[in-house]
Amino acid sequence: MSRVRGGKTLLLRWVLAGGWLLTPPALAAGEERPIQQVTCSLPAMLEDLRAALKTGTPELQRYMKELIKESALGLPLDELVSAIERERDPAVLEALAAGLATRSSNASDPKLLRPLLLRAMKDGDAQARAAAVRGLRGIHSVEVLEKNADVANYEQLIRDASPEVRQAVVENITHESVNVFAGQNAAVAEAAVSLAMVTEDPALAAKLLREVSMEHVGSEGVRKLTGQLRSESSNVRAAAASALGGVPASEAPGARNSLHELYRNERDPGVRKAILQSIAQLGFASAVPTLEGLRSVDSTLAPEIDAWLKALRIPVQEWSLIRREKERLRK
Amino acid sequence: MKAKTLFSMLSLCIAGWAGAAGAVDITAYGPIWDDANARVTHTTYYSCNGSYHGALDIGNATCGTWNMRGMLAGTRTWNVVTGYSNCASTPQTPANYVYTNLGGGHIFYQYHHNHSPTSYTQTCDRCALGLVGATGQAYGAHVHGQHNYNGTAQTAWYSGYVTCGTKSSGSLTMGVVRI
Repeated sequence: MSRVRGGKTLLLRWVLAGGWLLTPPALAAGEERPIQQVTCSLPAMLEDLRAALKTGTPELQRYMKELIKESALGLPLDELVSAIERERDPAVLEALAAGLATRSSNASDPKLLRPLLLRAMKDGDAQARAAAVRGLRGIHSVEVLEKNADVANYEQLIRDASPEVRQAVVENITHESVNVFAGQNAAVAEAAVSLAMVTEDPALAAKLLREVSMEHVGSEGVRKLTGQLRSESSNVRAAAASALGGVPASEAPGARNSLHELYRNERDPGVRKAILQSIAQLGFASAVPTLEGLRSVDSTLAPEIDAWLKALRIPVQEWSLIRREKERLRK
Repeated sequence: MKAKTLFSMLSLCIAGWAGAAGAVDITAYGPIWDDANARVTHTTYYSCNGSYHGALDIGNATCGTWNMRGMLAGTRTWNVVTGYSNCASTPQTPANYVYTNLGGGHIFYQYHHNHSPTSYTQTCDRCALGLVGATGQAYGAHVHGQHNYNGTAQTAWYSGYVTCGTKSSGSLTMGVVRI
């Protein structure tokens, strides 16, 4: 691993200062700055990252973080772990944590993450705890934490005293669902449902239920989701109703019955709209009789039901297109 | 020093870039971490001027020795279909292959590995998934990397990055898969 520096002056310093945008370095005409190859040492990279975080552009900051993350694959492990254990700057800690997470994922060794998980659980600084949690973003963190359950778990982290830590947990899960598994993972879906039950923050619970794919959730997860339809928070009830629309076909009949029953007892129009959408999503054309039967329950939502009925008539079997058509009709 | 030169220098250490708004770019690295010997052998056309191939082949003139690693940066679930081994220069066994579902109709495949203790479905970042081998329709050990979108092989992901003879390694970009 190596990179290039020009002369004695750190090239990045010049970049940070924006010098390349203003005037070229002071070189005689035709003279080329000598290029030297140097080792990408961790201290040098950290120094550059700190400088970038202080005065660099967002692009340079991202570059330095990516550089450390990728370089972590080849750095001495002891050096990387030591840096994580002593780092106090949350932003730098997060970059180092992402590096260790990449290293762990590459080596298929979740135990490598134990020093980082200890900081996530026990550090006295809430910002450092949050940074350590964010460092897990982009890997299969649910599985990794299960394999390090004696050190850390999301159930405890989502109850952390710091809202920043709790937010970091939720964003890890939603990111993992979309970007690591493309929605195709049962463990992440189950974790999202369980964490939504554990958290005392309705907004976080709703975010988990809305943004994590339920395509592979199991029966137990569906049972828990159904339980959330009785939440005191209308936001959570609406999110649970939306989530039930995305459960596997094998769970669809039970989900449909629960939603149908809730619609009749629910008073919040936002929740009712979410229920209608999920009934449409679960049944496509076969949902038409159910939707028509619900028209009499709440006349103010008749236009909403009519829009779904029209959208379900378009000759496509692609849910995103049906939903888009319905949204177009309701504009 | 020109800005172009500067960025060229910076790129010596770069790992990957995000793509245009709305798209996600995934850097594909060499699957064989044999820096001295791994080379691109075939691209869109066999030997770059033969019949249609539609994928990237990378070999290092060994069989059953070096790991075949997942090519795509980032943690992915690699589904591994495996069980055979072959180092003959003609097809002898069904193909072993691995694939990762990137969502939205995008799937990335790697073919022909020989079975090894690490050949099992796992979620990881460029981990070892088997040994470079010649299972399936292969006339010599190599790795065949293929990006399918809705079932059709894509060639843009490596075009402009590599061609026949280009060096390959775990730290060199072979292409960028945009999803």
